[in-house]
Amino acid sequence: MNPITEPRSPILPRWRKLGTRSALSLLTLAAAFLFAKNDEESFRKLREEMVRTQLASWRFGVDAVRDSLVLEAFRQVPRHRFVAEELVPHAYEDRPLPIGYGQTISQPYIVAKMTELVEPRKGHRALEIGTGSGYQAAILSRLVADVYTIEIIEPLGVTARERLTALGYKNVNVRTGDGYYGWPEKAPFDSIVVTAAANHVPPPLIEQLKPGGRLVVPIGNPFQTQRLVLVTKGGKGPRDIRVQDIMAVRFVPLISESGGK
Amino acid sequence: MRRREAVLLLVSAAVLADEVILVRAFSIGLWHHFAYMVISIALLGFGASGTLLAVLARQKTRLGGRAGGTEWLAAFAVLFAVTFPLAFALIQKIPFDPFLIVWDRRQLLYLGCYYLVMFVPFFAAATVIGIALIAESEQSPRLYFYNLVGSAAGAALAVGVLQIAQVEQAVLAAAALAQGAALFALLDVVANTSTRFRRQLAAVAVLVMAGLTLYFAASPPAVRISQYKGLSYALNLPGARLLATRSSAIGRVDVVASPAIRQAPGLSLVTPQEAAIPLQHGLFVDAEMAGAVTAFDGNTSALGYLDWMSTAAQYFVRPDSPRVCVLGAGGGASVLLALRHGARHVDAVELDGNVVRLLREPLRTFGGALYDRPDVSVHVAEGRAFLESAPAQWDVIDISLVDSFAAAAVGLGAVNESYLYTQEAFTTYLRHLRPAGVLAVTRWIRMPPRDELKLFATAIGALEGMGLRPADRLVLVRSWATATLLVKREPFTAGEMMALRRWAEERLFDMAYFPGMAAGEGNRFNVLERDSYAEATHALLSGGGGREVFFREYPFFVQPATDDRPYFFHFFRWRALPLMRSTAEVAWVPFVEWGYLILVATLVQAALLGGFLIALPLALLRREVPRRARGGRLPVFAYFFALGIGYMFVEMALIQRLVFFLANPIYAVAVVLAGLLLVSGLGSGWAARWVTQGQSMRRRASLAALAVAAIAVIYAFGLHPALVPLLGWPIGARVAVAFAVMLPLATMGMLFPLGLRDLGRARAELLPWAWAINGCASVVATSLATLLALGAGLTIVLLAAASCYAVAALMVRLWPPVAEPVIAES
Repeated sequence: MNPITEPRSPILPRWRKLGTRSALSLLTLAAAFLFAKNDEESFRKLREEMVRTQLASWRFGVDAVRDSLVLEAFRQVPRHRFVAEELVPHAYEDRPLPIGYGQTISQPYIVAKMTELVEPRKGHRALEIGTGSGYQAAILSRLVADVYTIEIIEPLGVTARERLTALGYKNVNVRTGDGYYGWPEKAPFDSIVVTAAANHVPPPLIEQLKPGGRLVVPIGNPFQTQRLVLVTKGGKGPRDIRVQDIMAVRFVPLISESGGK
Repeated sequence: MRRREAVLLLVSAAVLADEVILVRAFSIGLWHHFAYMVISIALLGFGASGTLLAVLARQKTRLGGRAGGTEWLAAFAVLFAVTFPLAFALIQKIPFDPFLIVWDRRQLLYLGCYYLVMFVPFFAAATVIGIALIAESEQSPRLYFYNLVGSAAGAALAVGVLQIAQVEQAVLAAAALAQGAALFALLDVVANTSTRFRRQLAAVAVLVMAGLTLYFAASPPAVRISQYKGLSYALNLPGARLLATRSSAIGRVDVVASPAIRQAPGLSLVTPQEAAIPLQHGLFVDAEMAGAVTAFDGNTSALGYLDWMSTAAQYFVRPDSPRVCVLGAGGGASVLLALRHGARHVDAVELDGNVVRLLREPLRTFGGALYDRPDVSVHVAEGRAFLESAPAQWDVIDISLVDSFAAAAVGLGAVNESYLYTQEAFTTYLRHLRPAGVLAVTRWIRMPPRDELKLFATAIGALEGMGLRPADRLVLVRSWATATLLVKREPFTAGEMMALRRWAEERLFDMAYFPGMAAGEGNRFNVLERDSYAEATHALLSGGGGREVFFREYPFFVQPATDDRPYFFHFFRWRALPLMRSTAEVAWVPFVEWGYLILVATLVQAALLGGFLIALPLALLRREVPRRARGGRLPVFAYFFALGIGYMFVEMALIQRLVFFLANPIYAVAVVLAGLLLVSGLGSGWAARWVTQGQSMRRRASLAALAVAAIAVIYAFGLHPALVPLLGWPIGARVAVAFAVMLPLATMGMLFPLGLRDLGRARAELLPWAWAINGCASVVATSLATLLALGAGLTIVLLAAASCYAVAALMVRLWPPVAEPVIAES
């Protein structure tokens, strides 16, 4: 009857088919999105839990992290994106995680304590020696204007740069190479975090610290941070330097809550 | 010698060689504590073989008699020869990393795999030895002789091979011994059997072993080095190159070049640019950083950085152009420092000859031929022994950071002996100082402080022992990373103090203690919440009650180490556990001394598994033995248990005493291990002659045990004082003395085989049980001896050994009577 319908009829089912297909794929996408969102949602919850139980609360022998901005940064940065796939389920546990090349991503508390100790502020410029996974740099990037980070092991540095770019951390600059001489072009810095412990703190880094700036270095091995050494530079010239030993680092697995939920 | 005796000899040699080689391999790949952990489990194979033998005996398998168990013997000899090299290759594939163990449960699985893999060859070897001994218990003294002599040869051989070849090649050498044993065992089978099938089976076994040998000879399995060890890390640095590797029984030495390697422990934060660190090559011992070799062209003014570390303090109080003695010279940093300060002559003492050879070639040009200068004399020796026998006196004796930061930081060395840091050692150092001379000792700082406080206490002890007032003669300088203790025989002068304080202030180092210091002066630059240094040094110097209270209440063990308890690195105190739990602000990590905890873990797991292995044959026997014959097992149990414990206690104590006397841990282990086994073998052989003469064995065993107990008591008190004056003798003479010391202990070797022989007559069904108990006891005893030495000292270990032998002497008298039918049979 309607001539137009004639040719259409073969098309219609096709459309319908297509429609079903797209509906199906849309559904899958939506589902995936939902699940992903759920996933993201569950990770967000894990982060909240991590901040609440591991960082913000006073626990046996440990100083809580009090700086609310630092805690907020830990709520935002997806730690699970900084570890290998098989370690994702452990990403928010109170433990360091191996990232290869004999390096680790420190346990959240250590990263938080180190971050708090350097007192990052909005307009600050921070330097990190030992990018590792990039997690510490990502945390700092939420708190300061610019982060400059140097990784000596090239494959780690390359991965960290790609990761940070993919996650949209635009104010983090990654360089691969020897961090001993700091980043003179961008010096001086308000805060310096030396995540790769060495037998001495490179004097060039002290020079690149602003008056009033703070530098922190963890002492121990990749799996056990025994103490944090905080160096502060006063305003009375290059020799106005004070070193403090921060003892409030504890050994989680021997106490409780190891291994996760 | 019969074929079976050759099997026994070779298998025993291979087992001992394996143990020695595995310790080396683990030290390189992981840390040596794990070697003891794994080996102790593997050695429980001896206990397990007892269980198996009990089962075999129950199945009425023919184990007894001259040809008894020949096929079983051959089967297990082949199993050992095949699985040993395989196991070694396999464990290099298991990604076990001890530091992950507290977080990653998979690591427990990997550790379990280590145990399982290493257990199989040791179990097989133990079964071979067990069958041989038990099948002819009447002959056991003679057979035991071959067992012990084989073990002695194996220990000596392993050390010899490790001295000239890499550990991977040494494994092949040990495997060859095992294969030799398997061949003899197979020959025995072929000679005693006519069936073609068995001959074919033997041929297949030979082919498999030959194939395996060819395969491993073509591609030896390389030791897997943990990614968390310093060497692995260094090799990942940009431009890193492995320049040289040297291997000896002491350790493996690697040299890595990379522009990113910079070794300047605790370098001042305000080090000026002109004092930058020259190019350095990293020096690694057993894959951990052990210093660096610094580029040197003979111009010491380019070495300014050395003055910006606490290790240089002594050169700001010493007389001009001093004579210097550096203990633990290593890569030569302290030697360079001495030359920079115009030393007239430097005596550089280094234990590892390979380090010295590396600096001579290929690093000669790079290092400025440091060890070939006319003003530097190199001595390849242990530091303490060198000084004990040296006639000279010095202006500066320098002992700087002789262990690596990585090992020190986590307390890995906690259970290692060291005669470098004992109170007697400090006395020797002070006696070798010229009147105005200074002793300088540097250690890594850990928080809360411990190493430097123990050093301080040790120096006080030594000074007081010499009748000198410590408060005027001590200075403790600390950076954020290192602490240097200066000790003088004369009081520090006001001028010296002034110079030193100015020097320290310029570098932002704190003077944690100096004569006449005021409150608050020691906590200015490296600020602690609580100045624990001031509190501690004050308490230690206050003498009498104050010091004792401090020792008692400080959360670490900081009482001076002595030659009797030479464990400077042992700081862990169980008593401090509740304190740690209740004290806020105190972290856990700093209290964990891994070496100690691993030792405890080793003991616990050995005791649990060992108990299981003893309980199992016991349960099996229970059903077997008629009720009326069950009595009298306890004395048998106690006898073999006491022997297992006692023997290892004596061995361990002797090794520690002779480490000091022979002044080289490797010689000591080789000489004592091989020597003690050899003299025990001689004792066994001697006992074998009694047996043929048909003597009463129990009375003799009892007397021999009492003799051992007496010797142990004499050695507990008399050995060390007797050995000290002989330290100056040449090494050959000292080795001879060491053998003379061990010779009376030949009596120890009589007890086990005499016991087996009598038990075979009285209660043959208990033989596997005795074998299992003895095996387990000796494994438990190894870690127990170390724990006891750490807690109470070597004298107590020897006395404990004496009481074990006294118990054995008593127990053997209480054994069940010899059963008539067994006697008739023999």
